[in-house]
Amino acid sequence: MSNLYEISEVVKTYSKGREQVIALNKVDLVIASGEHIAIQGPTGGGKSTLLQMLGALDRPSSGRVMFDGEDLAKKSNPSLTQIRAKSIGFVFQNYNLVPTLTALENVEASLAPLRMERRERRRVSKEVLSSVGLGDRMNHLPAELSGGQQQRVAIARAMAKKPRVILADEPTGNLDEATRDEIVDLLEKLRKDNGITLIIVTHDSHVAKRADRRLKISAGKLTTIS
Amino acid sequence: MFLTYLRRELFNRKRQTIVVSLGLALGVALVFTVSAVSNGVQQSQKQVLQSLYGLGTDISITKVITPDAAGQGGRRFDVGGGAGQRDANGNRKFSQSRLIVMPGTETFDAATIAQVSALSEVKGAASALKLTSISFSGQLPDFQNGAGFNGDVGGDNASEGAGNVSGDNGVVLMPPSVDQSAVPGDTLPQTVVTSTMPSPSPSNSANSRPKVNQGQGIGGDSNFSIETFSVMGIDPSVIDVGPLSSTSLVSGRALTSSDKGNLVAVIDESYATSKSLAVGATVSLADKDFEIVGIIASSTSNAETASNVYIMLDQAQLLSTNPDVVTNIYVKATSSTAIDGLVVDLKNLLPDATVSTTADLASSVSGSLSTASKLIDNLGKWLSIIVLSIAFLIAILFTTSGVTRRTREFGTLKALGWKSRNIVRQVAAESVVHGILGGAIGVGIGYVSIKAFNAYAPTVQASTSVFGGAAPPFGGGRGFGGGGGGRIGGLGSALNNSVDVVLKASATPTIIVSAISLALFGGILAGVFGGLRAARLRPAEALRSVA
Repeated sequence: MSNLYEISEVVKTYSKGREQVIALNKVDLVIASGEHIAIQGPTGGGKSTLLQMLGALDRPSSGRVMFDGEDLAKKSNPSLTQIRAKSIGFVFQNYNLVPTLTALENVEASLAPLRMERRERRRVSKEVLSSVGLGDRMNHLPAELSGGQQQRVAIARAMAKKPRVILADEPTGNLDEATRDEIVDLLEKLRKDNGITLIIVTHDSHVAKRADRRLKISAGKLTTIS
Repeated sequence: MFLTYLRRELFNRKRQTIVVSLGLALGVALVFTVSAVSNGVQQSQKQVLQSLYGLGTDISITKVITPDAAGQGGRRFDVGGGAGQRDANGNRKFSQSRLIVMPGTETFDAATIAQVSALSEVKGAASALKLTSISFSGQLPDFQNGAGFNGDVGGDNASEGAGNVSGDNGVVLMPPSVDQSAVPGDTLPQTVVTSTMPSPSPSNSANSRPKVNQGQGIGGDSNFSIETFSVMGIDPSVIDVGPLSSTSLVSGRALTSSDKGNLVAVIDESYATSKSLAVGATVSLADKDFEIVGIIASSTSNAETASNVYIMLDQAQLLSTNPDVVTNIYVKATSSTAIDGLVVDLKNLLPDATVSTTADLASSVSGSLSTASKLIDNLGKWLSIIVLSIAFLIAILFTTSGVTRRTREFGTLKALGWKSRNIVRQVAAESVVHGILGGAIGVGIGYVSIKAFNAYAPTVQASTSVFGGAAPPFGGGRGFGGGGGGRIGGLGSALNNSVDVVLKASATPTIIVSAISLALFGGILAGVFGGLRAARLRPAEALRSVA
């Protein structure tokens, strides 16, 4: 199994007023392709910052973030945008769906940067929505869907482009237990079926236990739990 | 995706769409309405000037009398010492008509037009002799035997007298006066006419006020009436320059060169209506009956023609005892760029004359039309700027605050791989559509405002000096001049052409396009601000700030 991520000596600092905050402190991490990783840790420990580094949303202050053989730290903004468009899917705690677009259009929005033909884009979006069990909710606006359904749309949106990795930031944080399990089952199934890497940031130990590997990040330091 | 997203945003964020569009619409509607009213005012000014000077006239040349220090600028109306029939009490009855050069006007030698036409910048020139027909009929007391004339008549600009002027049609009532002094001589006392000649009047024939002026004197044993109207002697061979260029034939025929020497006349339609005259009837001028061969009207809808009656130039000169002279010369330049040079040449050629361009004539328009024009130019312009600025500000604030509110949305789209320029394009497009909607709604509201304005149709008054400038200081004629004749003084006001104009707002395609462009500009401006804000969003920060 090849490595999807190779992170070494990554430091990320922020300025907060006159203070310098160290969000990531010399983090080293290797993630194999198709692996299921759970990242836990206290609030403000650096979970989201690490996820942003992995998601090509931000660059480290120092160190290397190798993704599929390319150093994201040295990539230009357009290149990072291109990598996100093609290879990285995001799932957020608050779903982050565009409120004015229907479920189907939200999924299509993730395919828009790929210059896919409109008909093909629509076909793929419908297929993915059906695969997450929302074949009958495609034309509903987010406000007309339950929390679990909205998260399924978000997962479909992340999956539609057939990414190399899905980065999920507290994907079950706003869901009840039953729905939480459904969502985790769905993510796990998609990972296995499509051979993608799944990295979940979560506070929920129940969710974290489903991962191949559990990591903990606290005060910017990354450690392996088990 | 672009159009789908745009459509969804506009429909699903109705409140923002409505507020921003309506904000822009109100600004645009105000600008649209002010522009349309301003255009209406300009059209009215043009109509006033066109009716007086003609469509193709670039320059008008006149001469103004410089009154002497004593103010003796009036003209005599000498009814003749032995004229009229005496009754048993010695009172005399008169019915006389005179054609006189419009008071305050000097004449040119008729040959002047040849000199003017010879100038290289002149494309065409026409001349006219502007006259006033004054008809006096009634009874005068026996002044010679001391039967006092009890009417002491004054006028607007008269230095003496206190005549009461009232009535819409210029009726002058002369009440009994304390002045019981006998006035020797058979003279017409100084009188005044309040309205003027020529006086193009309201556009609406229903409101049309005849230009005829009537004076009545009642006092002692006197009882008479005075009627004045304007007469213009014209050369019908030149019709593309001068007052006739803005007229059209309503019935009968126009005057032609073959009418030279004939007592024929063409009359203004409004005058014909007011006096119930038709083709074939006669009009009396200087005690001669002129056959009416045609009726003309202004080719512009909102004004009357320059004169009540038009006759051949030779007859006008003959009957006014002004042979080979004219009072007005109308000049058309070879091009608009030649006008300034032509004015200089004409001033050199005719140093005593008043040479007025259309711009000078336009600036001579005064009265409430001028007030309306100034109001629109000043208050309207600033009000439009303020409202439009507020509308633009609202659009910008709503758009930028919309971007702030949608930080998570745009951050997510960037995380999904959307390029900044695609998001900027989306924001800008929404603003542009707001602008287009605002423009369309604004023009709609503007049209409703114009309809309301035109339904109200305010009547404003426009006054122009017949000299194309300020009226000279006439008046002050001596009342009851002794000896051979009294003076018709107090005609200062008569030297102004007072016109009632129904103000109509009208929107031209230019105004419509400008209004929509303005709204579009507002939309683009808001889009630029909103787009810049969206472009600056970094996905990590956008998502972090939301978290």
